Amino acid sequence: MNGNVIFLIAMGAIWIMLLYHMVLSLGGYLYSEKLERAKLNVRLQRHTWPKVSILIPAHNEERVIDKTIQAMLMLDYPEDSLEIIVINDLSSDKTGSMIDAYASKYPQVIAVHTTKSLGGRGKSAALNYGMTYASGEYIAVYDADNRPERLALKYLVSGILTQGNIGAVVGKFRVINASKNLLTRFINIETISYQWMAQAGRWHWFKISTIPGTNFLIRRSLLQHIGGWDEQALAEDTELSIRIYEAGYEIHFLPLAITWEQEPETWKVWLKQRTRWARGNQYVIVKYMRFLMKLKRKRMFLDILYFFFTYFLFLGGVILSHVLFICGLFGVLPVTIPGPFILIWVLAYVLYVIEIMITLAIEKTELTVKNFMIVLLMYLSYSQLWLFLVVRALGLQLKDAVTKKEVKWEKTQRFGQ
Amino acid sequence: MSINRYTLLFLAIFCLVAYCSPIMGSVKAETGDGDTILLLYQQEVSSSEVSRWSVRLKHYAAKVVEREITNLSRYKAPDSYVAVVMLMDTYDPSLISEVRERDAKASASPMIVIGQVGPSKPLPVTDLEYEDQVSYTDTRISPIVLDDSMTALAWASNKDVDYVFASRSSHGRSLWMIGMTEHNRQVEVITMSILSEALSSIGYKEALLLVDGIHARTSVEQLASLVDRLEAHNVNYGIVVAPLTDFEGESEWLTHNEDLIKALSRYTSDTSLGRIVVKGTPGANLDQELAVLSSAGLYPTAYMMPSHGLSAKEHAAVEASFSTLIGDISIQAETGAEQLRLFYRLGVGMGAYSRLPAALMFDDTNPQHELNLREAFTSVRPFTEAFHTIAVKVEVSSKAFERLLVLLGKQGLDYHDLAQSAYHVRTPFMSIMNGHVEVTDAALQSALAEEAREARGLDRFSLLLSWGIAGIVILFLLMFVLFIFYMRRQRKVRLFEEEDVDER
Repeated sequence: MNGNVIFLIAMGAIWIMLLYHMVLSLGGYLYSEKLERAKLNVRLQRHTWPKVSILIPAHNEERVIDKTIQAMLMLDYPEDSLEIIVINDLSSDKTGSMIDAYASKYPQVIAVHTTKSLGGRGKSAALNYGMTYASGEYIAVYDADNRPERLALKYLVSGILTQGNIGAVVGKFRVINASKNLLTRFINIETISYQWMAQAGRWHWFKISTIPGTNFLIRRSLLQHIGGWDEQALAEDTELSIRIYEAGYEIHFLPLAITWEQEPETWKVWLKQRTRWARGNQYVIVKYMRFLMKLKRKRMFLDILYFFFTYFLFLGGVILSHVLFICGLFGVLPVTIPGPFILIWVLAYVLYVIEIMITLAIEKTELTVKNFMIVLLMYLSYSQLWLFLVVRALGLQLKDAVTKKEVKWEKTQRFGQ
Repeated sequence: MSINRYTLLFLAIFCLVAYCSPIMGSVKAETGDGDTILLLYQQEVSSSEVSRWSVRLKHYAAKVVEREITNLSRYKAPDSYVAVVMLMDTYDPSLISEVRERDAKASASPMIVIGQVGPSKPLPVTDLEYEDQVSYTDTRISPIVLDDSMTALAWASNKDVDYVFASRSSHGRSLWMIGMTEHNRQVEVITMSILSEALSSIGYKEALLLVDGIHARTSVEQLASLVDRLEAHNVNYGIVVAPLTDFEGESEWLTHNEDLIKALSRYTSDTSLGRIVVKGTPGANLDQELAVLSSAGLYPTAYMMPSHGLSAKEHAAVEASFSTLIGDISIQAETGAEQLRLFYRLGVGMGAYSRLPAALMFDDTNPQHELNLREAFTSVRPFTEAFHTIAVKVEVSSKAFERLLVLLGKQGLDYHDLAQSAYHVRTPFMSIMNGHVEVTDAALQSALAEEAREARGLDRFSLLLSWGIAGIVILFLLMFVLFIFYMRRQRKVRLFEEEDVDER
């Protein structure tokens, strides 16, 4: 195989993803316009609201849990139809006592403490445990650092009530500490663009979206039917999403339901969190690639393929491209095929910037010159770290497979507010 | 068997193999019948110096016979020659006389003595004067002491004193003396000019006529309009083909034009006068180009250097493949281009290696070309007249081509046949030796040719893919930019306004 063929493979692998995201960006924009046209045509005025159990898994969350529970108590939702189950998963700090204090003061707050034999096995296990205490028809999940907006839960419930085939509704999450430093600004832009591109775009075109791990509502009956959360999965949300679709339901992305969450403020914490995500998604790909042809919902075929492309094909394309570049410096594997490749590279960069700017423009407050400059910088810095991150995750996955080490959930460190 | 006997046996086998080998065959072919120059040298003259002069002299004669003359008792004159060139390391006028006395032919032939031609030691000089032209240099020459029978041809000076360093004597026979002791470009130019003058009576003019610019999109009619005329006039010629040509970003192989390939095969067959010359494309894979040509039945004889030079690596590849190269050496070195302009034909017998001067272009769309050509034939550069390479663009009009043939006809030229002199083309899959083609690795040849065919498909795919992506992305980008402006304008009434973060 010569340099030309390798170059075309690399270019194809990279551009499949870029073009797909371009189409998703368009879908995200069209979906936002659709919501704009419908304005607040989401029926929030109801006489009765179904009972909802909010699950909040918490492991050493003393820094954030107080404000999170307060935000839950302020939700615009009938008190008698709401229970807030805070699961203290073997915390060694004051989390347990803080939860107990709220539970004694507010009847809708239920404090659940895992035992040594059942606890400390990660978020999925804590949620499964918490669910046994839930009595609501619907289960909502929030991370321990979240502060949903007052109407968030009503939007989620409205979203699930309007259509029978909706198994879960996911809202949008925003970064509460976006202005803290450059890293949180990068993450803020990343989360906005991810949600409008991948979530809204996929929902618009294919009626697919993925549970993000927080700020979502799911039918309790469905959750029980599919066997709860996979305790082996580090990306339990992605894994759960596939099973929901396989059960014949859809996951509706409704960005009107908003929660605010804290994002890593240091690179070390960020790396740890993102490595866990990458490993989790790689686990899901490996788990479901084997059953790809047996999937009941063909849409999921596309989605798992998308994950496969993201974590393997695109990565492979970028690595191939880098290898070719280095070989080219030494006169090995020369690329002689014709084509406007400089233009293509420039277009890739411009596309990256414009796609993100579109998603920022959907948000009323984010289309700023400052953000534009950060996006310009992001391509050359933050985005390139993804390559390192995925390779690292693959390496760790491989290492654990060889040493047969049990996968361990690593909690994201919180920061004081 | 002693070591000496082993050595002798080895030498004997080597000589036998060498004599029977194609290399020696090529030497024999090159040194065929024709005018011969006798090159005599003293034992002290280095062998590299002798080789260098032998190469230069082949510019004037088909054959150069070398003889060492220190011990004249062993000296045996060749059967025939038309001129004597003597290389001297130590001044010895008696040696010149003795050679002439022992050999009647030497006595009657023009003689040129080069080297230490005077009694005094070589002197450093800074200025040279020849034919009223003064050039500045820094070299050493051997001054000549003139007698009455001698005429000075060139002078050298070190600002204070003038010396004669080239002279001509006419005492019944011509004797030229050139006091050249160091290699220096200016001295060499003068020496070659004097040699040309001295040997003009035996020199011959030869031209290599090339029909240039044949590529995948050349029409057969265009080619035939020139070549048929050359065939009719019994003129040997080369057809310069570009195996792979870039047409505004799209590469196309010559072999894609099947009619043209058929015509080229016809014009370069054994019964025709045309020979294939490959025109280099920088960056191209030479082996692959040759595989494509040979698979189509076209066997090259020489390689024409591209006008814009080659990289050192490409140049090495070309030299390893072709014994006959046409054009100036122009290597794109890391530190910049290195250029060497050849004014005369350069040939080395043992390796059947020959370099031909760069082509004088003839193209009727450029009037300067015709002027350059006329000037080349009339300018006072005698030694460049002996061999011309003339390239005529295939697109030239019949009228202009006729003009060119008339112009060349007036020069009394012999047309050089590239296949007549010894040559070889070597590739990892095939070797061509003086017209004899031997395919050594047919699998590799067809694999390379096949790869080229695939590469063409790949090129098209690459263009389609890259331009397709570019087109789609540009459309989307324009659309996206409009969306952004639209959303910015509508910002006040937009839906996605979160609660103020500061309040949280």
